Amino acid sequence: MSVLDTPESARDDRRVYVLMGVILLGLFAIVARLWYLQIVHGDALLLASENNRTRRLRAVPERGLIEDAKGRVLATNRPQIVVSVVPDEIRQSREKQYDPLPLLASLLKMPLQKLQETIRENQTGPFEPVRVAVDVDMETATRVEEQRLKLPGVIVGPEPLRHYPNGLPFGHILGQMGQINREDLIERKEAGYRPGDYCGKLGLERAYDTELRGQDGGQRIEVDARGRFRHELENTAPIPGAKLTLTVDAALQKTAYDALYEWAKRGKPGAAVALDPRTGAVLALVSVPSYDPEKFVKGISSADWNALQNDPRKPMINRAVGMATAPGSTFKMIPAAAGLELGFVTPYDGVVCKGVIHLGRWPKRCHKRSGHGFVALNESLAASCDVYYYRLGQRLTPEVMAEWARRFGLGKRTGIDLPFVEARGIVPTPKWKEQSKRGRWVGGDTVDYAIGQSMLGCTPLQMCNVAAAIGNGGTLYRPQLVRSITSFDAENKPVVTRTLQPEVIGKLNLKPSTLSALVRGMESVMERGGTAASSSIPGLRIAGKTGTSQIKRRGEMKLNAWFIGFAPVENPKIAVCVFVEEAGHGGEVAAPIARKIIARYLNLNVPDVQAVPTTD
Amino acid sequence: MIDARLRKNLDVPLLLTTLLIVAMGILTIYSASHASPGRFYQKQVVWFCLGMIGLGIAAWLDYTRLPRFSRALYILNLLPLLIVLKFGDERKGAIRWIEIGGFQFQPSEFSKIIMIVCLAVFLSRRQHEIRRFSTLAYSFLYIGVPTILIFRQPDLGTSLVLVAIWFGMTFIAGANLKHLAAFLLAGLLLFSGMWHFNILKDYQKNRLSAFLNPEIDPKETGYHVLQSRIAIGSGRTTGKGFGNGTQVQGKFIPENHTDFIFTVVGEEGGFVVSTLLVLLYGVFFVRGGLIAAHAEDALGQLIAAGIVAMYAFHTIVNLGMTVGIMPVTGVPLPLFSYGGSSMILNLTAVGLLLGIGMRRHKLMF
Repeated sequence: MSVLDTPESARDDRRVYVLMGVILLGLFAIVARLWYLQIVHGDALLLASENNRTRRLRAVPERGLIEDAKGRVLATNRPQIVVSVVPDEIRQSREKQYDPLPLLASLLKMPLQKLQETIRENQTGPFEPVRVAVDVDMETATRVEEQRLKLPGVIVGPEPLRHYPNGLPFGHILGQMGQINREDLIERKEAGYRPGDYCGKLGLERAYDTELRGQDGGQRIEVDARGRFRHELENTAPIPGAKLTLTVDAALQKTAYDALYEWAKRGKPGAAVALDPRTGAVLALVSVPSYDPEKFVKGISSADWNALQNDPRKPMINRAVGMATAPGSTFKMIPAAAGLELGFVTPYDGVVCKGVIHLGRWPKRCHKRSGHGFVALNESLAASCDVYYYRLGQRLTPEVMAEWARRFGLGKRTGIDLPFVEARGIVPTPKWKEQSKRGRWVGGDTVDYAIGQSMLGCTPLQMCNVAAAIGNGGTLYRPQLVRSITSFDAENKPVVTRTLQPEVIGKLNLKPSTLSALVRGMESVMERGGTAASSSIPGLRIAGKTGTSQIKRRGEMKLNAWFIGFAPVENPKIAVCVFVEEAGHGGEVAAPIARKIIARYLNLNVPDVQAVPTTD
Repeated sequence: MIDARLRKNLDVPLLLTTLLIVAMGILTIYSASHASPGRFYQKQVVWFCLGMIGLGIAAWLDYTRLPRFSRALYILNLLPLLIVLKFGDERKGAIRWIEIGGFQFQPSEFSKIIMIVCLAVFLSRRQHEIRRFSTLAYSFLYIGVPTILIFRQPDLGTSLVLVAIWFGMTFIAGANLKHLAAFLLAGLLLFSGMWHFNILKDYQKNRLSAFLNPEIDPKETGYHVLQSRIAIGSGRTTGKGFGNGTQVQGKFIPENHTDFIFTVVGEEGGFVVSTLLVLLYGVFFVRGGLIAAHAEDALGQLIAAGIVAMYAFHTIVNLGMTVGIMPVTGVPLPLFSYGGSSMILNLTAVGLLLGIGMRRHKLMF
């Protein structure tokens, strides 16, 4: 064809330009869209691509050890075999028409439904293993391993399990471990807790859970579109949990436990607390009967749980800090201090005890019916004369006694590092009695107040602190259980991150003359004629005070035995409080136990004493 | 062999643009697939060399001699399409391949360029009557036979390309705009009819619905759309760097060396490199369009326009689906996506375009 054959009129080149225009417009739309995706939404989509491709695999650190003051291990870890499943792999094999769960359930001797439920409830993400059986025995583990090929997504491996080599005397101090519950999880998610995690539930395990648990490590890996491993982006070793060194001496704890157990096995539960009066360090803290924290490690069996719940001695109650009852005559230290400070009494003047006083028509008797005769301060403490304190109480008034009780730290929590369990106690006042609908305050209430009866409620820990404060010259310290915390730094080197710092929670502000009169009186309790004379230790000056509080139980009058004290008087190193429920008089029951604790702590070898019957 | 006039008229910018696009394509295929066993980038280099031979031959051939072969070409085109329907290899639910001596090739790819030539001959012979509706309808029938065969494979993308080529070429040939509009309307009606009466395969329908709403089923059909959107967007301004695209390297985007290859550019090269590539295509279309505008005769103009229309449709539909403004249809990015048949065909088409440009008398700047 030639130029002549194609008439110019038939050609319309403009249409070519129109076509080009349309095409360029199309390309412009593409560029506009690129702008929108990459410039406008680039950051958000970058984040989406990051989430797409990375997964975290956790490495759980070993929980920190707990040792006593001398380095004896109280809580450690032992390896256990754990069976876990990876939910995503189960899903994948199900897609291929194979479900490994029925086989796994039969190997673990577990109902299939329960297995499925466990996985569903504890699942945190498709790729994170869910524990389905803990502390599996070797035989079961071997059987699961043998069927490996038929169990895709099932992992059998070791994991540390908490272990308490000698837990029973320490049950109430160490507390319990358990799987984290929903409320705790919500509260502590920021700290890195995940569903199914084990954490401290009670006691020190709970109070220092953050320190004990360490820091999660693990891998951050990149995966492909099917969730398959591509490569590692980051791998951090977990930092082991910190070690707690307690102020408690395991040997002393055992002494206290054993002594109280003699009564507990006869159905008389009790508690004992020993403090260092100079710092507030807890030297021993027992509540007997106790429970073995080992039983809670894997989740307590229902038989064990029922046994604990149905025991009439109520082993789960921490009597040392969680049970406030009337302290009996041990309370007399407080009206005595108040009377001396306010000038109502001097060490030299006194009252004549005829064994009874009369409140209108009502007689109020001394525990010694025949009466003590002339009683000054020293004899009032040594023989625990009630009439002396009836009179003193009447002069002090209940309001002033309440004020002084508070000054000694009663009616409020000491703040010991045992969460949830501590009782506040009760320091009654006439106003409080009326407000709590217990009726009007009567004269009997006032006199009962002065001898530690009435509605007073004190924990053995609070009463021990009263003794400690008198011993150390007037300072109330917060009782603390932890001497030091040893953490591990990034290089796994131990570093002591915290040591015990005494914390003052109150000052008695007593005149030296008052203090020395109180101490003298307490010392005479341990001397000839004193209510705890039989529990004295030759060559050791002990200050003590016995108490016997009366309670009505099932229509019968029962006697709770109390003893508080400290030693040596010239330089107190230990303050104790012993409390035994329904066991008898303080001088007969509680004082000998305190004597054992003091002797053990001060390394004095003393023979057991035969308690001499006293009336208080 | 090639005389001085022809050499002087060689459209160097078009050739360079083509080579640049191919080079970028090979690098991108390398990045997307060097970790997988296929060695696609090496094969693509081989296809490129074969394509350059095709380009040389096509440029050297005098296109004005083509009309006498048009009937033979037309029939030659139909045969393999029939064969592939009967004996082809089924892949991904579609039969598009014929295997000869260990190499598979896709007859539908070659069909496109043959149809451009045949339709150009057809239209150039009927220049004066093209404004008549009957001629337009006849031309549609002419291209309709192979289109339906391809659609039956089923290859929705290529059959739509043929329709697009027809629209482009009849428009350039001077068809009445009202007639073309009528055809467009009829086409839309036909398409909705096919949707309604299930002539479209399920996956084709799913792709379209996924385009409209990818979040409906992000694991299945909407997957491509969502993942490529994430990939491209995450490249931001300058990209994650060559070989560093996490979406690409993590295989979040299937077909990332073929249909979805632009996601690799978007993720690893960011806005800068993606726009550069789009600009290169823009230069390519402008140079191609100028060749059509300045072609010596109507046949040359129609062939050139057909080729440009084919490229443009491919490019815009492919980029459009990758960036999520068009539905997913299996259309590769010309000169860029991995694929032997389409690489050879595309370079041959560029050769044709260059040949038309060389054989003009007017000067072109």
